[in-house]
Amino acid sequence: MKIPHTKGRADIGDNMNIAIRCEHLTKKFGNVVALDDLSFEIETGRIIGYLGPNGAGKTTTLKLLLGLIKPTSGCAYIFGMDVQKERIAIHSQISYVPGDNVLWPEMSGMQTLELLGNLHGGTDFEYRNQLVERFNLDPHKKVKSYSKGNKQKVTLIAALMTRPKLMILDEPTSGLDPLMELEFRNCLKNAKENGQTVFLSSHILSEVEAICDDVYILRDGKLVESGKLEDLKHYSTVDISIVFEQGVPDISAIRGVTILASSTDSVHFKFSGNFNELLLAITKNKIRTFLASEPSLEELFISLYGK
Amino acid sequence: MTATPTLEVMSPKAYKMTAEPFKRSLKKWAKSSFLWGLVFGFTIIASASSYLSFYPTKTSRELLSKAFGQNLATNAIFGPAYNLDKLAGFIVLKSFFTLIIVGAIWAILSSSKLFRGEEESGLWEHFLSGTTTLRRTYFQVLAGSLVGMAVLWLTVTLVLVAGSYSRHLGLSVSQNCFYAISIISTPVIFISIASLASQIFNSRKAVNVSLGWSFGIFYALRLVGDSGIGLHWLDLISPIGWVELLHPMIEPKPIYLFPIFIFSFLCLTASAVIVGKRDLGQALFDNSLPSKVSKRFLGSDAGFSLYLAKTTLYSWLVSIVLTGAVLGLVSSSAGATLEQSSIKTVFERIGASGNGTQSFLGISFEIVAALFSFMNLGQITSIREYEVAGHLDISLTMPESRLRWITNRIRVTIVAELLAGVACALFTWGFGYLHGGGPSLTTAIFATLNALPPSIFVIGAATLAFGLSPSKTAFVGYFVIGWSMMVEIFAGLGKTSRYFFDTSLYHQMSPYPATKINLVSAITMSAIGLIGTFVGVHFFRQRDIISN
Repeated sequence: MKIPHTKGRADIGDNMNIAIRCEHLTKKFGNVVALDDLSFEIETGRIIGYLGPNGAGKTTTLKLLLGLIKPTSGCAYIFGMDVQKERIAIHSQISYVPGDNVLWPEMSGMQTLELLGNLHGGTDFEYRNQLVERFNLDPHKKVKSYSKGNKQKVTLIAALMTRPKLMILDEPTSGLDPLMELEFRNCLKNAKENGQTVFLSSHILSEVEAICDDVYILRDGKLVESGKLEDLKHYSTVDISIVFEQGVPDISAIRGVTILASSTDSVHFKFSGNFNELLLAITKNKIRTFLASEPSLEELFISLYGK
Repeated sequence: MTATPTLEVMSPKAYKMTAEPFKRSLKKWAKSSFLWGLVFGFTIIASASSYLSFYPTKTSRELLSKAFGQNLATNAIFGPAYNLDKLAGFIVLKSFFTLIIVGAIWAILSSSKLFRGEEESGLWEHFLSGTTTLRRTYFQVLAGSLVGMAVLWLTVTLVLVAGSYSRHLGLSVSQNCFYAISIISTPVIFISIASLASQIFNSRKAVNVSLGWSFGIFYALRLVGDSGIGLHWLDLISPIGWVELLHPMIEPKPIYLFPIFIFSFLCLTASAVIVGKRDLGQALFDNSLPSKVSKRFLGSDAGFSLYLAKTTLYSWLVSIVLTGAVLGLVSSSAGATLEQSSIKTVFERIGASGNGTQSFLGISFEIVAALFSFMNLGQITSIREYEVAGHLDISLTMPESRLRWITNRIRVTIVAELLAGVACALFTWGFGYLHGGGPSLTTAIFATLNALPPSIFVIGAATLAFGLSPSKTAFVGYFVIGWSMMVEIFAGLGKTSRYFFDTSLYHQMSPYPATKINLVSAITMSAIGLIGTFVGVHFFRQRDIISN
């Protein structure tokens, strides 16, 4: 996706429905290129899954968006405001869940929530208390005595309780049990219904598949795929099994066919080419059963990494 | 169908227990023990050299002995002085208590980390998931610590024997060996207490606080015991008093190794019993319930800055106030001693030229300046630690500017320093007044104010490093202080270049009230400190946040 350079502050009026806009964002650490000319736009009110293998540059992107690190070149905007120049205005409208749980060990869960709520401002106390119950957190223990999952609950509640316009979440369900993961998904769905935007970096593909509207896939600091999940799936291979009544026609010459198994009357293959060409070839013989399964996000992810 | 391979289960006796905790503990202790051994050894040899240089004649040595031998003030602070007309007696006076204090602080910090800090950080969980138990891990860490003490003893002994031989000091091998044993006694005591405290409290912070209090109480007991008010028996109930009573070099009394051994053995035995009964991460006093935190601390970043710093600042405040009190208490008698002593020439060499009390206070307030410097540096390095831990990532994603965030931290540091300064001046004056002497209130206030510029310089240097190259923050700060202190030590030992002296912050600070306050120097140091702070803050606002 090509985005032209804009200088200075992006026009807020034109970007009211754009939550995040990255323009040719590049970040180098010495000779290592962590992000390479990254450009994308995210509309408000959507839940975005940000995927990539370890070291792809996901956390670097998040830290750039939060203004914690500076880009080597390019710029990024949140709600039309430059993330480097207008950090405070941006931070009052966002919340962040870091990848590493770095709370203060000697404070209790509730003291931590009070502190973070006071620092951020705009805490919905009723909602906070609801969240404490929904996540089944005992907020009166010291953070150091919490399990990894309970610590994560504290940061998630802190991120949700101010009902920010944008939530930037780095591996948010790390350590949560399946029931709590489900509760977290419900919270994000509620947030979306309220018009909040969520930018979620995750390795849990089932989670992304279940809750995200759009997916951005990063590899070696570059955006390799982005868009609606349904659209992306078309780019991936389709798993097809066909049983013929009178022998299997020769499909091995068709571009995009990878045969996994075959017998005298059946064939199982992966396909990622032109469907018309495939259909012409297989309908030469009479088909008894035809089974085609849509790729999961996991398969999409693996197919992209495998390139 | 292929057969599933079966793995043979080893019998319990076939496992080889891991020695990793021991290796790790030994590695940590051996390296620092060797380095501290060199420092201790060379400090003692330097003391010996200064004695030969400043007191070359029998008359000058007798004068020294007369001046310091019966002085209650120096007895209380440095321990009783014996045989000052002989090299061995001077060495003990000049180095023993300094090494006791340094050794205790080093042992407290290192052992609390190994016995509780590494368990708290989760490292012991890795050990225990291998072929070892909690009790074995404890014993291995202890064994590593004790071998480390052996390394310290050996290093000090070798340096002393070599130094004694090369400089013709005339100290026997047995004298050197016993002095080295006396020096390692304090670290051994505090390693034992740390091992016990680590079974009692489940956070390193709590262990450090308990060890700090133990040290303070033991030191205070022997201080009162040596102050000549008929309470000598207090030495007998203080582990630091037992170390003092060993009388190394002069009249060795190895009998006092016995209470040291018994005390350490009891601490270690109690630790072994508790560690065998408790679970990993637990302690006798489980403080998993949080203490109440005032709403003021949680209401704003400024309040939270104070919350984070308060424990450390209280400790520094107490240390500085106590130092002020002791200075007030002993200033007149120490001054009287100085008047008669040829050691006054040493003080004159570093710029003190007033009467005895003024000279004593002038030089002593350099120690107060060093304490202020350490206090400030501790605050700036804690800012860096906050960043490394990742807390800054959270703080700076709140609607709070970087400028305001760091200004709050530095403001807490400066306000704490001013409060400590006022308290120090009041206690110096107050205790001097109660003792029927000491400086006037005005003198005490100006002496304290005069001690602030070096510490402001240290804030500037450390903040500049924090802004430009954050990983170097502690190194730069400690280098500035360490270098200045080293130059001061050399300043007292002999003729050295003036330009060399000028590189010390504490040499730039005039020894008020022994001389007038050097306003130019004070303003220059403060201005450099402030500029460094501003530039450091500027670069901090621009740079990347670098956490683990």
